[in-house]
Amino acid sequence: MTKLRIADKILKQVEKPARYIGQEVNSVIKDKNKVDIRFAFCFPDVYEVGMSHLGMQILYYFLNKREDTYCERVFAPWTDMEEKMRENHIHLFALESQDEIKNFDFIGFTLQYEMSYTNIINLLDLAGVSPWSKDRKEDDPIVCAGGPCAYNPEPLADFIDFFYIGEGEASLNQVLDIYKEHKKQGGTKEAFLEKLLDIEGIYVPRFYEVKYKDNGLIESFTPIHKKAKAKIKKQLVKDLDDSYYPSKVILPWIQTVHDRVNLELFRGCIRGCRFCHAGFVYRPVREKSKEILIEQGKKLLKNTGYEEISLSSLSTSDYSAFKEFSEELLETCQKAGVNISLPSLRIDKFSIDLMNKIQTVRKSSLTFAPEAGSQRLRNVINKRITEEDILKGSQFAFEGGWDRIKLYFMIGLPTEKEEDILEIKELAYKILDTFYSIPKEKRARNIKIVVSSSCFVPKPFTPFQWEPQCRYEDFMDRQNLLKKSIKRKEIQYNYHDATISSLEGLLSRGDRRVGQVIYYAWKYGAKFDSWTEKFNMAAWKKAFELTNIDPAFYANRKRAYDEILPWDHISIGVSKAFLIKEHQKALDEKTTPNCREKCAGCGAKIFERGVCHEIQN
Amino acid sequence: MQVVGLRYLKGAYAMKFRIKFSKEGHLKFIGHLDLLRLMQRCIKKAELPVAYSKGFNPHQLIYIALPLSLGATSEGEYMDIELTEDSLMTETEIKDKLNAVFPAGLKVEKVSHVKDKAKSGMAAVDGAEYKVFISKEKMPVYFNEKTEAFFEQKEIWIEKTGKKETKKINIKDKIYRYCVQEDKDFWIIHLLLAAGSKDNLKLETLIEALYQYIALDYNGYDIDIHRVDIYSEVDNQLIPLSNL
Repeated sequence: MTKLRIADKILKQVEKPARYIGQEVNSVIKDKNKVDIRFAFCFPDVYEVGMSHLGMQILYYFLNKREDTYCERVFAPWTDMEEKMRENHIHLFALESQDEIKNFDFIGFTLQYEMSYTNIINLLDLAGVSPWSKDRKEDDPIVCAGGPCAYNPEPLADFIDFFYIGEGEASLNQVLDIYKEHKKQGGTKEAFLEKLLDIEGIYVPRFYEVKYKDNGLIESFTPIHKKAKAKIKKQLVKDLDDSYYPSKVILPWIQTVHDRVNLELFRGCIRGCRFCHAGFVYRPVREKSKEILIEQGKKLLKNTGYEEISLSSLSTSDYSAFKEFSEELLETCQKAGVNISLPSLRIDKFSIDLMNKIQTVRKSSLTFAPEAGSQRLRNVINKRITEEDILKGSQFAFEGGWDRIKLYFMIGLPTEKEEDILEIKELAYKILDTFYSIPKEKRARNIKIVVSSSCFVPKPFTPFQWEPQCRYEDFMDRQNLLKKSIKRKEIQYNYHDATISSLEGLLSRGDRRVGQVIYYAWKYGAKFDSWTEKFNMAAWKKAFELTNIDPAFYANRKRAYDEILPWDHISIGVSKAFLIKEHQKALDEKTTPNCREKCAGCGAKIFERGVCHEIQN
Repeated sequence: MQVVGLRYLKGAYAMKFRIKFSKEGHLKFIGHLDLLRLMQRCIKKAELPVAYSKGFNPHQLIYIALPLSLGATSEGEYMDIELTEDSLMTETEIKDKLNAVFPAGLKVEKVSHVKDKAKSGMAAVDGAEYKVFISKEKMPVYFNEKTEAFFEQKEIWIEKTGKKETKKINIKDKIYRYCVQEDKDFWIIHLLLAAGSKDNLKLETLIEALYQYIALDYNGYDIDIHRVDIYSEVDNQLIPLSNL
């Protein structure tokens, strides 16, 4: 048994001490004297959130497959533990070896959501190294980052030594090979970062210079190293069947959000909803074959002892062999006594029948995500689902015995007007009427509809990247309008305070200057910003004042097409021209067919695989 | 040969087993419900033919006799498990299969048949034996003397705070045995206390009362608790659950 970094006495005083002890079933233990590279994989949130994340589990085993590398996990200690660590001068440590990560070769962060940025600063500080890249010493670890938020790396550019753009399995090994060689030969950190410039997909911020105009806009963004690439190309796995997928996952000690086997069906999405960051950055769609999936599922169940399996993708129903696959999976799981959970299903007759087969027991609630209330606005965002689809789907569901429906909407979408918001109410009422139009003996007795709205945040690399975000007061007014309009007691309306979304609006489209705000917000006490009870707006306000940065410049300003955007040097394969065309079509309320119906020419075809080529053949 | 014959005698073969296990080291930081989840995964991983409950949300038929507090270690924990009717497994097989998948710190010590009509582990519990380690550092020299005096009182009254009212109760007759032992760095208090559904005394409550008696502050994290075994009363004698 590995000796724990934290004394028993302290562990007995904190909430959920199992967050800090490691050594779970299926975790990897290596002899640290027999490896060349120590890699601290940091998820900047608490254990039970990070342990739910599939990407981390994949890369953990992927890196540990290398005999020369020991990849260990690090999560953000909860505030009670942080207090004890600071009080007792304990540096941040990795779970597996319980060693301080300041002595590791790499500290790597996965960037899953912008609201974790202050935690990154906090974790570096807790580790005992400077958050600022320029202030870290030669023997400090190299700090890197990747994940969906890395597509706009600029707000973190001054903290991170290099960003990995794209899917880790594609060329992370190359980075480590270069490092191993570099370490053997000896040389400065700077020299290693220079060597990285030879690899596609690596962005080293220190080799670029940004100049600003008097009005605050970016004047130029230029490489200042002769090898630094003008465009950093996203790296992706071309063939998912051949790509590494772990045959086991770590069993978390404590209950996590997704405590089950996760089977990844495909990456990317054919739909092209215009607000959706994932829908663009993960293009093109690449599927795993049915046979591989069944085999991976069986192995994972066997090696974990889980009794539930979940399918993971952006839109489960779009898996091309979904019917055959679901039948085979159902048979496999029924034999093994395993439950299936199916998120992201399109609600149609087939799905409802499938769910009826799966859920022979209690019917949990069913979720629809129309995203917008009116057909007009659904056209704007390219959410091609009609009212008829929704009402038909509800009818199937009600006739199948469901009595709880959740509806997800976004408030503050581009071109949204009062009547679009009121249409949300209308839609909910119509679903309610559908329920009552079914004879009593053919449906449940009572019905509950939960309407939830989130606040729209324009994201980089979407057709809405030029759009202004609603101001805080606007969000609140629109929510209030909807709240007041919903009168029927079977409908419950949930909404969030817009403060956090407004801040997300700033961070997601921020430039390098925003790093200062993040740093000072942390300095003034901000951390765990995505946890409502920990969110500290006062700290952010003080940071805005000190740094003289106006959040409205980033969140609420309409950008021109010819403006240099902070993320313009990153290439996701989807062209800017296509995004502009999509933006224009949005304003004209015109939709775009999905990738399988007709290629829209987004540019992702350059990756040579996936749905783009499936159609041609 | 004998085993093959048993396959056809449905119901004659014992399907309930009692597993005695230890929970040591960092496993002390895994709470009761998380331990139960871990057990479910391990049983499935070990491919034990466990039986499931009927009805909505079927769950494995496993029962832990007496929850252990978070932070305590034990060498005498018990879990009853029911296997499916047609399964044929020996005690040794069950032990080996589970130990092969258990994480370090968790270990099966003994597996025994439980007769069909026997009481469940949970219902059989009457007492629990503990060792409490109290660091001598920071402890007054009269700790030993005072502790003896505390346990020798005719009655030991504590206040029990319920939802509505605070009751005073005498816990003296819930303490079956005690002994204070001096070690190099620790005072070790050996205790045998009432436990289970009929009568129960929470160890922490007792230690808190002891500290109060000696006029010391009790914080709960300076002491180490170790459970030695769990007992059932048979003919006025306390017998370990594994020996029933």
